[in-house]
Amino acid sequence: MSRLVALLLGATLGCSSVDQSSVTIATPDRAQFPLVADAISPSCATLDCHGQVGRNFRMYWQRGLRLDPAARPGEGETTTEEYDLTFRSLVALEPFKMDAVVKGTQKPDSLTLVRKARGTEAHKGGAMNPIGSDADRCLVSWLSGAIDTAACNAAAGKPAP
Amino acid sequence: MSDRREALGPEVKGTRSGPTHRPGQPCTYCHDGSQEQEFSVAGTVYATRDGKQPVQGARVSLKDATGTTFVAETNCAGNFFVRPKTWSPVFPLSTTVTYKDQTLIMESKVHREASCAACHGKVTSRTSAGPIFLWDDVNPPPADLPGGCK
Repeated sequence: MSRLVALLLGATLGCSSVDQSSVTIATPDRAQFPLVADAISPSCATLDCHGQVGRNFRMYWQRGLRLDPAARPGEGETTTEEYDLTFRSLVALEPFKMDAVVKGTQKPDSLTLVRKARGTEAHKGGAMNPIGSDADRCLVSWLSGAIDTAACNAAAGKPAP
Repeated sequence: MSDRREALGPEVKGTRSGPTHRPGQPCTYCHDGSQEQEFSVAGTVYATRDGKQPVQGARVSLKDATGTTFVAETNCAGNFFVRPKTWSPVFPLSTTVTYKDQTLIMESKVHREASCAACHGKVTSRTSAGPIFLWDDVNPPPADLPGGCK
């Protein structure tokens, strides 16, 4: 587990003595996330899928939705801020399950994200990253704390080093 | 009427209804089979990024997830459309647009959207890749390019 992320829940709720304004969860390694994002974006982050502002899992990408109002799909590179926001969106989908997966108490496929991408759970886009595909191995290995860089690069269409 | 349909506004005055109307608009917002005939894929091809000159006779090659390919040709408005009874593709689609020796290969696959203009709006923005166009300043369109309905 590389880092903890605090999820803000807005104003303090109720009269409990417990601080409920934020929750801290374990997350996978943010530093390696660009490898994962580049691997899954071609199948997930197009403008007609998760590259839309209305998605719970909202993805920013060089060829899709851009963060900077002046940026255009297809221009420049995916920015650090865009990776940041996609990362936050991903880890906050099911924060407590994410925490458990990163701590190793639940398997990666307990996450809806993984099951939908594999097509083992109902998904409008179908099985975009089938079990064992490069993108699937990239995502699951990152969630498990030992990223498979070769799988990520292969899924992203990058040449092997 | 759905909000997105209503947002398209009225028909441009003087425009004939039919296959050349509303170029550059997301066709399947209306052509979804509920009130208007359904299209499985539809869009508009322009000569340049500004989306002013339509390209007539561009060939839009669509390859679906099963490997089946369908080629549609644009009309004088630059519009093309495919009816489900003609071809009902399994998404995602890989798309190539050609006009004579000019070819445009779409980098991303089309994963679910049947209207090209839903992502290729008339105005390029952070949420839109802008019109589908074949030529640019470096490689300008031919002077005798057909397009534009009489």
